[in-house]
Amino acid sequence: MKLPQVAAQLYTVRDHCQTVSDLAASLKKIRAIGYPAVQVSAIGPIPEDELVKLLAGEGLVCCATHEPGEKILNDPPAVVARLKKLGCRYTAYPYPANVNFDTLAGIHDLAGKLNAAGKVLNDAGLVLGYHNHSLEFRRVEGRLVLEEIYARTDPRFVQGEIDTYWVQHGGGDPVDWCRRLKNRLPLIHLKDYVADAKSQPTYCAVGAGNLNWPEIIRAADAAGCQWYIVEQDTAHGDPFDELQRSFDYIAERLCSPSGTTVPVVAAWDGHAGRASHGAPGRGGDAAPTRG
Amino acid sequence: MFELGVCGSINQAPTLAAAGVDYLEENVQAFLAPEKDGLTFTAAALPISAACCFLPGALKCVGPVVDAPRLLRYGETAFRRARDAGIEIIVFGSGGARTFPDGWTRERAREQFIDALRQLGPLAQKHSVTIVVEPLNRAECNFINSLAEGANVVRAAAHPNVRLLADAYHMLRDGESYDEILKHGALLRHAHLAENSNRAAPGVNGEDFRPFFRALARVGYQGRVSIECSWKNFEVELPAALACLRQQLAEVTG
Repeated sequence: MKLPQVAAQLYTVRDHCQTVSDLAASLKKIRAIGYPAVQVSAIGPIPEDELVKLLAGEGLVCCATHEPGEKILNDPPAVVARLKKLGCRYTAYPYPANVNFDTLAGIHDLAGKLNAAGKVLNDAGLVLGYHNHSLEFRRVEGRLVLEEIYARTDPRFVQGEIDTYWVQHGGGDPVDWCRRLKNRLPLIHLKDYVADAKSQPTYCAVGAGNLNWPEIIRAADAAGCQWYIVEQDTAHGDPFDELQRSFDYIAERLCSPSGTTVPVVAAWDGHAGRASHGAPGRGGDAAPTRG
Repeated sequence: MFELGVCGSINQAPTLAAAGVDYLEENVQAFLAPEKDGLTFTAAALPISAACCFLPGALKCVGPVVDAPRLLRYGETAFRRARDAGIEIIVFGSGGARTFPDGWTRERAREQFIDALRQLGPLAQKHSVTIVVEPLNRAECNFINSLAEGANVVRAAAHPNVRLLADAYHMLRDGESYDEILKHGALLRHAHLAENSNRAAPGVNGEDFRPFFRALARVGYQGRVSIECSWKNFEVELPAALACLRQQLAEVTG
C-alpha cells in the first residue's frame, strides 16, 4: 500500500455531506488531512456533474462508490451511467437489505442477481464488489454465507470489498479473507476493532484498536488491492478527527516508501498546464519531432 | 493475463478508469518533467504503470554531441519520480534523441546507445523501474528499427533493468513478422499497438491483432499492452477499441 492508494469513505462523515455546501466543506477537510481519494457513499442528492466539480476542485479522486443495493440489482445500467459520469471504475453492493439469509436458496438467489448485475458492469469495463458485514459470517445449512456468496458468483462479475472490522466481528480472520480473495480484492475497508468499557466490540480509528494491520496490508497487497479505504461507521467524537488519526497512522506505519509493489497513481502539480497539449492523443514515444 | 492500457494524459484518467482501462501510460517529459523542480503529487483514478517519451529530442544519446552528465542526471530524476508515482516501465523510443546524423555510422551509434543503457540500467534498478527499448519504424528513426536490433542492444547492455518492447504498429509499418517475437520474447517487458493505417485506434479499420497476441502468448508474455494511437474521436473510439481488443484477446487466450 502506498499513500496515493488511500481513500476516505464518505459514509464516515455522511452527516456532513448532505448538501452541496456541506459536502464542499467536508471534501476540503478530507483533502487537508492528506487523503488523495474518497469513496462516494451516503451523500445527499447531489448531481454527478456537481460532485465531479467539487472533487476536481479539491484534487480528490473518486476511487469507488457504494450504490443502493436495489439499484445495483434492479437497474445496473443506471449504476454504469453514474460511474461513467464520475470517472470511476469501482462500486460495491453495500448491504443485503431484504435478503433472506436463512436458507441457502436465499443466498443463491442473491448470488445470481449479483452475477447478473456484475456482468452488466463488467461489459462496460467496470467492477462490482461485495461489501460484507458480520451477518455473512452466519452458517446456513452448514455453509458460511460469505463463502457461499463468493463461491456462487463469477470472479469476473463480483469481486471483494472486505471490511476488516466486520470480518473480525463475525469471528473471521481479515488476513485470511484477503488471502482467499487473491486477484479478487480491488477494494478493502480499513476499520479497526476494539472493546469498549462494557467489553463490547466497537469501531475506532485505524491503529487505535487491535487488528493486525501490517499483516492485513501485506495480504491485501499480495491480493492485488488497488484502493485502501478508511471507514468508520460511528465515530467517538468528531469523525474528521478520527479520519485524521487513521490517516496519520496509515501514512506513518503502514505505507511503503513507494514504487515497490502495486502500481499507484500520482500526478504532479507542475503538470497542470499540460492539458493544452494533452488532448486525447497518442502518448507516442516514436516521432522524432516529439522526442 | 494481459493488462490493457492507454498512452495518454493524467487529465484523461477518470475517463480511462470508467472505460475499464487497466492502467495509464503517461509521458516522461510532460508528467515526470525530469528537468523541472518543485513537483508534488496527488492521486489519479487508475494506476499509472508506465511512461513513454523518455528523452526530449534535444537530449541526444547518439551522434557527435552527447551530454552524458546531463543524460544521467535526467535519468536519475526521471526514474526516482517514476518510482514515486508507481511507474514501473520507462519506454525508450525517443526517436529524436536516438536518430544519428548524416556522416555518423550506425555502428558508432550502437556503441553509444549501449554505453548509455549500461549507465542508465543501474540507475533504473536503484529506483525499481525497467527501461524498455522500443524499436521504431524506419520512417520515424534511423536506428533500432526491428526487434532483432533492439534485442541486440539490450543483450549487449546486459542489465536486468534494460529490456525490450514490441510495438505492433512499428512492426506492421515495416512489414516485420510477428515471428520475431518468438525469437526475442524472453526480453520483452512491455508492448504497444495501433492499427497500421493512420496509426488508428484498434477497431477503426478492423486490424487483426490476434497474431500479435498469439505470438506474445506463445513466449509466455503476460504483461501490459498499451494502445498508442492517433485518436480521431477519443470518447467514441476508446470503448470500441477496448471491446475490440478484449474480444481478440479472449479468442487467443481462451
